[in-house]
Amino acid sequence: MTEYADIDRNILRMLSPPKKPYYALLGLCLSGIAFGTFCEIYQLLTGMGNTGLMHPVMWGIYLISFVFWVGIAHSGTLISAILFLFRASWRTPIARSAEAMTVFAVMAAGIFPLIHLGRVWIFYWLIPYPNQRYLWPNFQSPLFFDFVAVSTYFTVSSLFWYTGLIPDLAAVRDASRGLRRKIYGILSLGWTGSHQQWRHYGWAYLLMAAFATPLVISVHSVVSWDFALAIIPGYHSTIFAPYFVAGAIQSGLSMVLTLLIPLRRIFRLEAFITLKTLESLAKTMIFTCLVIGYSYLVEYFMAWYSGNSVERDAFLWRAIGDYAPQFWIMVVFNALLPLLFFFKRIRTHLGYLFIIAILVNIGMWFERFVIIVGSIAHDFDPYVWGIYTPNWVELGIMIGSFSLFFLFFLLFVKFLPAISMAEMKEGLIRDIGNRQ
Amino acid sequence: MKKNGEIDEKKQGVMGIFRDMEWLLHAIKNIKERNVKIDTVFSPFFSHEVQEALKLQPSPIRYFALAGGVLGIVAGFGLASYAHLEWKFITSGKPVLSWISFFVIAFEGCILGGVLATVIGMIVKNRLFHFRLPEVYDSRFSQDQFGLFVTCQEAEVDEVSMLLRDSGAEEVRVVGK
Repeated sequence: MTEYADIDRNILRMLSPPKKPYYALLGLCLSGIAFGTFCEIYQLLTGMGNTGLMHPVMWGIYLISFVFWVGIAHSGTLISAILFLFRASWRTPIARSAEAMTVFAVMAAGIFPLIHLGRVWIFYWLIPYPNQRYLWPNFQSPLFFDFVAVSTYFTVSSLFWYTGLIPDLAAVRDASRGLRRKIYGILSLGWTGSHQQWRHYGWAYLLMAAFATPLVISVHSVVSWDFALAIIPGYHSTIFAPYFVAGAIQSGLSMVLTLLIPLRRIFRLEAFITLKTLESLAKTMIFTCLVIGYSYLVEYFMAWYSGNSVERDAFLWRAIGDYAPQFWIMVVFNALLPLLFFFKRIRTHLGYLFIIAILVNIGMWFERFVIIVGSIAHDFDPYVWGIYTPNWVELGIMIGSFSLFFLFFLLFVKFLPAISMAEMKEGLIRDIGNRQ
Repeated sequence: MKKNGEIDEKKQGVMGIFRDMEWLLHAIKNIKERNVKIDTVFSPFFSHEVQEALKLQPSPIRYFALAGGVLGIVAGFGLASYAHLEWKFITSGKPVLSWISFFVIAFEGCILGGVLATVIGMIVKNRLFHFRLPEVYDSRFSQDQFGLFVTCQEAEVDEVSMLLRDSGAEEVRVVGK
């Protein structure tokens, strides 16, 4: 058997019928989605008043979840598009899974602006088309920028992901029989791997990677402007765009580690997803952690330097006020913990990598909590200062979104090749060439 | 083979199947030296070496991408400007057409337009959605083997077959006879 056939065999065996633990995880995800759906239906029937949202905090778990999921999506595109342009070969075994993570995270994110509306059935008012209401959305509003940016991001990521899948779907077609062959035959769109097809495909993939690259920077900058274009202290800060983008990449990388470490172990993919690949992810996290740490320091410095009493008080309250525990979780888990990756022993140990990745995920969630809730709970007018506590409806919907994300990923791993076979084979030839 | 990637099923020729890319490149070189027409080279992955050996020009998909991107920018500015002229949402003395904020819409429009045009270009040029596989196709071409399909007259079949075998083909098949 050739080395190429070896690659196919090892990756295609992931598509074989699953064992009981898979079904257990599937059941857990479906239960989470069912509970989340129940919570949303309850909210639709009884109103937004049955959530924890109350003046002054009208943006809570839903916005936190939206920003959290969009942030996670960015790292996938960084790995699959930006690292492709940089010819970073360590990306090859993880690019497909990372891009899948992007698509599923954007899908999870996209439901939150709808849920957050309350009156979900009038979401179509956001779509810019000539209508009998003679109304158009406000193109100056960052909330509308969000609609354009996130829907563009979803479309582009899905198309980029699918384009990359086409040659591998053809490989699955050719390795299958009967109905399975027919289905993958349709999905692979009649791909034959001729030199002309590869010629056009190579250019298309390169151009799509080039187009997707500015999305990594722009989409989360646009999401950050939902807050930065407001005037309250804690929101109105020019550092938000790079701050949020770095945070997005950090949370995405930690989610990639969270997904890939178990995947690698369960499917015995150690030969493909090497420790060096995971180490490279950890090293990238050091960089994003330093940017985030810098952002935290700059925000505090500028609050003090400005001399503005409201700004100073808002930031002091974050550190010592009602949400101080969340603040300190944010600082320790996001700006300090990933610095442990400076030590090779830690960044090459699977257990430490996994634990730190989970803690960074938690820390990044709390960062969004501290920024979004912490700022509006304590803004200009002391009379309206208040506390927000999410209730079971909001937490249930959030659990539903996590379950949806993991369900999509479970289905992806069983029905589609989770590692790009064509790119792995291309890498093999490159490695042989380098050795010669 | 048609320029746009579709393989003409009724062509007559010889298919050589190779296990090694080195032998494939060697065969391409030999075939070209004899001025025999190479119809299609099949491979399980993208190869710069094969593209260079066949002296292929850059794909015209890049023009699709450029057109899509420019159209996207124009559409973004156009849509935002039209909407704001139709429904003059004047706040805090800001201009009716606040073109600075429209840059965000135009930028996203550029990316969306460019990507959609690239995908359309790839579908058109690769003749995707063409579900019936050509007669010359072998399912091993998506796994671990390379194919070199050469068109020739019936009289030349033996000579071409010999050439392919001497160039390292593991299997040689006559097609369309």
